[in-house]
Amino acid sequence: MKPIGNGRISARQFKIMIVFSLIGDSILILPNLMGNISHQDAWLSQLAAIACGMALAWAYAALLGRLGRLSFVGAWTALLGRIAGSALGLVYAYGFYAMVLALLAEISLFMRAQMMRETPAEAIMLAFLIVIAAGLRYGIETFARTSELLYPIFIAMFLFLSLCLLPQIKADQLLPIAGAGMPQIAEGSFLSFAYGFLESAVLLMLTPYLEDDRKAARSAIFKGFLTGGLMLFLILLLCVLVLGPSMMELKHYPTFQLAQRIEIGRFLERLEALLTFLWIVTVFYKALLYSFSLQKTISEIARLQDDRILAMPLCLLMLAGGMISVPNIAAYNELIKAQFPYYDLILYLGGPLLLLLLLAIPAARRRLEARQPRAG
Amino acid sequence: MRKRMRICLVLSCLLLLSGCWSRRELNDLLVVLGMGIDWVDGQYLVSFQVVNPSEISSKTKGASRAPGTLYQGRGNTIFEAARSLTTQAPRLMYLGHLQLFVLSEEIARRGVASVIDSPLRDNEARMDYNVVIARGATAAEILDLYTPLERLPTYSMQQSLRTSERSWAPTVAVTMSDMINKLSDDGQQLVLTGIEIEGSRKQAGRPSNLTGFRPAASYNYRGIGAFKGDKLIGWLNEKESKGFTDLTDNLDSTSIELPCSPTGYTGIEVTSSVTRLMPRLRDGKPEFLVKIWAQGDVVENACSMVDFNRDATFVDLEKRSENIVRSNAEAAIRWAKRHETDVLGFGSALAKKHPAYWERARDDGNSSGFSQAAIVFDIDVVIRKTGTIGNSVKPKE
Repeated sequence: MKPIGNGRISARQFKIMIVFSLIGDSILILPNLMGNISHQDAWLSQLAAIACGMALAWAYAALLGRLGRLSFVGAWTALLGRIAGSALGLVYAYGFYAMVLALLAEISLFMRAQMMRETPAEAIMLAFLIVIAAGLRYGIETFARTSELLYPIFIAMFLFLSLCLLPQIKADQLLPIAGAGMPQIAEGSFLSFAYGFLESAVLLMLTPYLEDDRKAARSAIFKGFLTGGLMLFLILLLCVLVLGPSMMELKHYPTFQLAQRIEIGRFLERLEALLTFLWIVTVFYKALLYSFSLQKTISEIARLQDDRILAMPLCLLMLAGGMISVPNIAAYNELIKAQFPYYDLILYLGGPLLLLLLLAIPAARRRLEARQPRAG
Repeated sequence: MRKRMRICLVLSCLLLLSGCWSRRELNDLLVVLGMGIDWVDGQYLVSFQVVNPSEISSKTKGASRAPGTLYQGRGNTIFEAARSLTTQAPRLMYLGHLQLFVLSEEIARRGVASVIDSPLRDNEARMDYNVVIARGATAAEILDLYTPLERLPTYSMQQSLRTSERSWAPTVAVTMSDMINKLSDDGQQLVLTGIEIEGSRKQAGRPSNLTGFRPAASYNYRGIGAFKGDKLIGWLNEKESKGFTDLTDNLDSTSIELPCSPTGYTGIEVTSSVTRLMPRLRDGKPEFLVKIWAQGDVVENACSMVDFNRDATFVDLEKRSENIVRSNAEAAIRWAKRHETDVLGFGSALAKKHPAYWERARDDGNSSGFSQAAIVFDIDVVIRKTGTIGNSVKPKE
C-alpha cells in the first residue's frame, strides 16, 4: 500500500471531510440526546448551535492562517519547546484515541441494537478498523479522494431521505415553539455545538497537507460548518415533525426510525438498511480522521520518518480499547451526556483559542515562522 | 508469481462473504402477521399468527390447509412466551412484518404500558402496525378466524380498519407509534378501536366458516375504547365514536342520515371534513372553539316531497346536518367529561397554544382542566350536489 499522489488535499476535499466529521456520529445520537433536553425545540437548539459554530469556524480559520505548514500539535511543540510540547501532544493523542473508542462503541452499539443483534461487538469493530487501517496505510490523499467520490452519493441519499419523509410531516408537533424554555434550548445547543462543531477540530491536524491556497481552505471551513450544521438541522427538524418529541426521547436512534417511516404507496418502504449508509460513512470518516490525527501526533512527537508504520499497532490498540472502554449502554450514555462534551470544550475550544491568543504576540508568531518545515 | 498470490488473496476474501452473523434466511423464519396477548391465570398468553407461505402462494389452488397457523405460548414476560414456542414451531418468529397487535380487554384494563414494552424494544418489529382491543372475545380468538376474500385475516382486518377510519368514522386506526406518542404526550389520552367476533365462535377457526355465502363468523370493529393513563376505562358508542373521529380530525368521509318523513331518510355523504380545535383564554379561563368544515353530497332520498330544485332545501339540509355533526361531537365531549379523560386532546391543543397557562394548570393538579372549559362550536356543512339525478322518482298517486 503505497501512498498515492503527493499527499496534498484540495480545498474541496477539505470541505467534504469537514462535513463528514461534523455530521459524524451526531446524526445518530443527537436527536435522542437533544430530544431529552430541548424536546420539540431541538431544531431551535441546532440553529443556536450553528450560530456558535460559525463563530468557531472563524476562530479555526484564523488559526489555520497562522499555522502555516505546521499541524496544531506541531505548532504547540514549536512554541513550547520539545518537552512541554510533547507532553501536550500526548494529552491530545489521548483525546483522539478516546474519541475513536467512543465512535467504535457507538457504531457497534447501533448495529447491535438495531440491525444485527447477535453479532459480537468485536466483529463490527474489527470490520470498521480494517478499513480504517487501510485508510491510514494508503495515506491522506487516498481517503480524501474517496470522500470526494462518496460525497455526491451521500448528498443524494440525504435528500432522498428528506424528500420521502415530507408526506409524513405533522406540523403541529413543533408547537409550542420555544415552549421548552431558554435554559433547555441553550443546553441542547451546547451538546450539538460540542458534538458537531467542536469535534471537527480535527481539521486543525490536517494543515500540513493542505494545498497552498489558504484562502480557499479558510472558506472551506465556513462552507463545511454551514453545510454540516444545516444537514443536522434538517435531521432534527424532521425528527420533531415526523416522529414527535416523545418518540425522539424514547428511541435510542431516532434517525433510524425516520428511515423506517418512509412509506410511499406501499412499495417504496423498508429502506432503513440502505439509508444506514449515511451514518456508516460519516462515523467512519470521523473515526478515520481522528485515527489519522492520532497517528500524526504520535509520529510528530517521536519524529518518525514515515508515520504510516503506526497504522497497524494503533488499530490493534483501538480494537483492544474498544472492547473494554464501554461496559454497557448506561455507562455509555453517562459518558456521552455528562463527560464527553466537557472534554471537547477543553481540548477543542480551550486549546485552539489559547493558541490563537498566543499567536497574537509578535514574538510567538516569529518563532512559529522560524520553525516552519521547508516546502516540498 | 506475486501476481498470482495476490489474486489468490483477493479471491480468498470471497470466502468471508459467504454469510454473516445475524443473518436470517427466509426459510429460517416464521413471518408473524398478527400477535395477540391475553391474560390467563396471572401470565401472558401470547398468540402468534404466522403465515403458511405455501398456502398463500398463487400456485397452490387447493385450500386444504389454513393460510396461517396460530402458535400460543405462556410466560411471565412476552419474550419467555415467544421463546417457549420453539418447542412447537420449527423456526423462530420474525416480527418485521407484523400487521396487527391485538390486546385482550382484560389486558387493556390492567394497563398496556408493560405489554407494549417488548415489541417496542425489539429491533425487528417496526412501528407501523395497528393496535386493537379484542372485545367480548380473547385476543387469540380474533386471530383464529377464516376471513373471506383476503386469505390472510390480519391483512383483512388491517385494511378494514384503515378503510373504515377513512370512510365511515366510528373507528380509529392507531399504529404503535401513535400509541407511544399518545401514551406519553401531555394532555392527550390514548384510544384504541375494539374488534369483536360476530356469529358462531365454533365455526370461526374452521375452513367450513367460509363454505356458505355468509361466513358463519366474522370480525367487526365496534366502538372506540378510551384510556386514562394506560388503562382502558370504557367504550364510546357509535354516536360518540363518530363525534370523536370528527373532533380529532381523523374523519374524511362518512354518512349522515336525516329523517325527512316519519319513516324515510335522506342520506348525505360527507366527502371531506376538516376540524380545528382552537383554544383561547378568556379572563384567564380556557375556552375551546371547535371549527368543523365539511362538504357533502346527497346520495339517497326516500321522500319525494323533498325538492332539490329549491335553494332553501339545501340550506335546510345543511342546517340539519350541522346539528347532527354537532350532537355527535357533543356526545363525545360529554362522555370524555363524564369520565374525566382527555381523549380528544383538548389539553394538548391548549399546551401548544398557551404553554404558560397549561404549565400552571398542570402544576395545580388541574390537568384534566378541560372538563370545566366552555366549548363553542362553529360548524359549517356545505351540500353541493345531488348525484346524477335531481328530485327522486315520484310514483303515481
